[in-house]
Amino acid sequence: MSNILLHASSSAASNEVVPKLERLVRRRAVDSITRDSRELERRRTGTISMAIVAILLLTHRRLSYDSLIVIAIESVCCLFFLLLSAWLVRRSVPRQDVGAKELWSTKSNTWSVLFMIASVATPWIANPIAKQLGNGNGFEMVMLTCLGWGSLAIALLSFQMRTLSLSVICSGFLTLFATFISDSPFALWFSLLWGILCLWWLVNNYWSQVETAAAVGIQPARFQRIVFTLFGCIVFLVGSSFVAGRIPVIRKLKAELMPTSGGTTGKDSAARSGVGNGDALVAAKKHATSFGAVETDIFLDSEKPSLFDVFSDEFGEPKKRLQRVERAQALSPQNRESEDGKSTEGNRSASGSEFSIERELPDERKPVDDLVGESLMFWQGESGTHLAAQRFSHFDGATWSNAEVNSSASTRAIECTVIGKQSWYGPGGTSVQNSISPFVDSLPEAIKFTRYRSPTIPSRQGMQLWCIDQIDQQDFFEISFDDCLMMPNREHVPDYTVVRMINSRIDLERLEDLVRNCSPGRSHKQLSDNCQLALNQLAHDYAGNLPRGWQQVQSVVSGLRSQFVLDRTNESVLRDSIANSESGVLNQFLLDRRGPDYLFATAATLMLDHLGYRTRFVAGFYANPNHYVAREGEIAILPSDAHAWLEIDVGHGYWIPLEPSPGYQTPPYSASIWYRIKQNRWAIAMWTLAFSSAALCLFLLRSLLVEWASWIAFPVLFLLNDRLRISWLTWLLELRCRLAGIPRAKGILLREHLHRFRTILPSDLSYHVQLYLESADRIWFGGTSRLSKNDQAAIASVWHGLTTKALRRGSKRMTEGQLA
Amino acid sequence: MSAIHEPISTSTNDKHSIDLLRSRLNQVLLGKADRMELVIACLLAGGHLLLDDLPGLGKTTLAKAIARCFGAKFARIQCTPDLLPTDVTGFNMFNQKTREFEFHHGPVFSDILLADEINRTTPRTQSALFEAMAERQVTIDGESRPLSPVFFVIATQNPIESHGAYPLPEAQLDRFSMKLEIGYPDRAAQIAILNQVDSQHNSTSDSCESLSLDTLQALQNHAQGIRIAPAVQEYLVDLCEATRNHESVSLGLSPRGMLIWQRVARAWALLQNRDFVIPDDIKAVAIPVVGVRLITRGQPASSVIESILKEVEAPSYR
Repeated sequence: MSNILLHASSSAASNEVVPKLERLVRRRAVDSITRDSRELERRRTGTISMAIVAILLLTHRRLSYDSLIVIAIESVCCLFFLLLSAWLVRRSVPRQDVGAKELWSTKSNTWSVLFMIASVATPWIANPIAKQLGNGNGFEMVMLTCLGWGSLAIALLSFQMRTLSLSVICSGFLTLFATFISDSPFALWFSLLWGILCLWWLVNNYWSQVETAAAVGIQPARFQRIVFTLFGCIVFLVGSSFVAGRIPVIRKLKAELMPTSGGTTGKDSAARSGVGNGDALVAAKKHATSFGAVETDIFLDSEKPSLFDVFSDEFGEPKKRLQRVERAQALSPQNRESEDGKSTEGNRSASGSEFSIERELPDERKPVDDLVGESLMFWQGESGTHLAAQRFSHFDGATWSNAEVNSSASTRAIECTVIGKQSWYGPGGTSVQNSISPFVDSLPEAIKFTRYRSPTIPSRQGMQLWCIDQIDQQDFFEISFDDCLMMPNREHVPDYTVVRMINSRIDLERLEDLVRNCSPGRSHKQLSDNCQLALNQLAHDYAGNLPRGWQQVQSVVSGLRSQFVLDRTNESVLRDSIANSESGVLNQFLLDRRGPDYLFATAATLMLDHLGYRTRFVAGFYANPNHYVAREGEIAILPSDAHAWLEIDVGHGYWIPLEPSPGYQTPPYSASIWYRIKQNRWAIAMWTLAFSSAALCLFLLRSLLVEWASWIAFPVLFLLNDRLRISWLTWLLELRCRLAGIPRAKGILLREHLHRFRTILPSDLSYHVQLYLESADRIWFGGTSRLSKNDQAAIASVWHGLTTKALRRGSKRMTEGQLA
Repeated sequence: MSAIHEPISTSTNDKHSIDLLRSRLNQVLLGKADRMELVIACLLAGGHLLLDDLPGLGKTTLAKAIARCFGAKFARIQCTPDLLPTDVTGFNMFNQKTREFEFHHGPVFSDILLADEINRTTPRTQSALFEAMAERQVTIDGESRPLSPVFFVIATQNPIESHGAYPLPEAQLDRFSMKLEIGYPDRAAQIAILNQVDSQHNSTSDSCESLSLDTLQALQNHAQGIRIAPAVQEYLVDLCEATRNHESVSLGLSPRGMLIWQRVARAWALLQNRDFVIPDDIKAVAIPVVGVRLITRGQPASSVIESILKEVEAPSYR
């Protein structure tokens, strides 16, 4: 270089020297780092495009079930952080021909790294918030979203070829995975686009390596690259289409994706829970002859108790009412027969449609430790779902029954719809317009029976369609007079039967409009006066002055949930009721404010009935989240999950479940984000006000808080080594300078910055500041490792003395002095 | 720049020598203590000095005073267009009597050389001088001859008369460690100068006591042993890179310039009676060191350097 410079200097007059020299120097300055940087920028464009395509594909998949607003907000946040990070990196070093190491070595890039981390972490932060608003994703989808934004972050901020390739790998994996889990055929177009981009990127960037390995005479040109890319694509497409018809696996793949797990054109997406892990396969492996509701099922003639045993086991036997008491002799224990396996009288009732709230003390049950072994059935769907098995509308003061129902109208019609090759069934006569239906969305769910002993199929309210694989006979099903789905003319649903359902969620917004229609209130003459009075009083207390409708209903239910205690053992209620049989179980429950769930349901039903709402008592099962079997992705329904709740008529033949028992999840309601925000507007406003007030207070008292914190943290200073001690003090002084409104500019040394105040500070403090600066110089730049006692005393003095207030006062005095 | 209270580990002899030199030079050039500090730093860094100022401001007096202080051999070249390289370096002359070539030493074979109005001589002669400045040796007729180990050049150039001048090329400016403008003294200093001239008629002392070329060499060696922490070196590199990336700069600092900057900063730390360099030292010598070798677009070099010093993040104790 020096030779060139000398040559340039000796050759020209003064005016021409500078430009020539500059050109020469610039030409020489394009070193290897600069060349790499330019190559990097060239490759970056393709990598960013691929990452964007992968993110779009995943977003397309998420749009099928997730909220557009949530996705949009999350994407905007991620993009904002990423662009901010990229801008900070570029801004710190304006010239583009600077190497990667130089770019990232500057301390100012700390913020850009933080923003990059924030962009990748945004999906993790957004997901819990979205879940609170009724949306959200599973862990895997959040991971995939992070992967997408991570690949874009790498593409935007990477300064090494190797890491750029990592971005391509990440986006490629995401594209592949998102394509596999997508139902939409458009997903293939995204993956095709990604493939083309990748091919172009590879050809464009690694052409030189290919060229090196190829013949010497090849002249790379853009036109050639395009032609070769197109040629490659055409050869691939023609070749694959030629070969595809000859390979059985590809024939299957052409028909649908992942055919062995249910496929994209299969029955429902619930089948795609893994290759070879379908319900049908599991059932067939264990009981090859019992798959499906077939007449030859060997389990159909079982003598085991029916559904009522579930309640009997859990809550105890129904209390027997003796019509007549005669003289009798007690049997010795040796002469008593074992009760195991015997059904009770209640179970043998003709209709089986009774539920007594007066029961004996239950036997002590051992805790369940084997979920799968003890389960009655398995639920593949949302946890906390209420699966109704029996509904009762008449209460005689002790027992719920359906005595009022006319036997002629005992069943409802069923309609059959064939989708693909599968017959799906749904409740008939639903001519009510969909616009007023309180049910929205479609949830594919399924229930698999194992040791269930009842012909009733537990189902959630809002069930639209159901089916059993290969069953196309409509008379296999029946909807009973109490709106429960059942399999008639059989003792129980056959073991290992899998019933698939298309269910709906309850739309809270429509529900509020519907529930306003209600009838006048009723009195319950069948109850004792005391009980009736207490029940009515409580109902009116909870309802208060609220307007009739959903708000009032919610108030009654939430009153029970908050002011009563759930006691599954119900021993206290039963003991009290036994001791004082005249008061009745319900009255005792109202007095004790404690009892089992069926008393909650009874009380809520009667209270709402009294207020003029049409309600009914429901017995069934609760899909307990604690009984989730992770291996199978199912919830085991155990005998202990037997549960009672109520339903309210919202008009037009719609009944909506309500959960009055504390500890149980309320039925899942669906609502738009805007509706939820509107509902919670006051809470949001309050929180916003509280946060902003707190933030304002913190802002106004920031100096004071910092000083307090520094006083508290001072003793810790003695535990640190000298270097850390100086580091902490420097950080504190810079913070105090910022708070005093005189921040240190980044090019100004702390010594220069503090030197301005030396004349204004008290002499001893000024001296200590000087000592601190010298000791800091010695420690940080002079290789000294220990401070003298004087220096340590100076540090303590500066820590306490050079406060924000002192700095602010000094700054003010300086300003006044300058003005004067 | 504030001096620290307790000396750290510089030896007492060094401190005494530096104080002596400082007081002697301040007596010669009155009212220019800050400039004298930089001149001494340049001398201790083993560099060369370019004085860019008007005539009559004491440039020659300064050079002579330095030479006198160390009892050094002083030479002066008055650069004119007809000055030949051999007039600077010396030449071989054939002796008719001995029938042999004899070398006649030029003015570069001195300890302190004053090249007055260096921009008035031709580039060829300038180049001959710059070989001596850079390598401390001259090559004549294929034979290299070493110069004094403490060889120190003070070159001057007159900024107002550009007619018939040969401006120093940037590559040659890079040989100088720093460029200074002495400037006019203030009023009090001017009165002191008038009084001093009268008293000098009676003064006979030509050299400082106890200062010698060996002392100067020892000080120079000691200056180069001053510790510089990696954080300070990083700061120095950041500043150098900033000069190369600044939009108003055509030619930034070369690695040679960076090395010279570090050397001068070390010497400056020694002058502050410190045995390690702090970021303040880097900043203190930035304008004279960088200004000589920075080519800017329109703006004065000093304002560009100041803006760079403000923009580049200074190291803190964290």
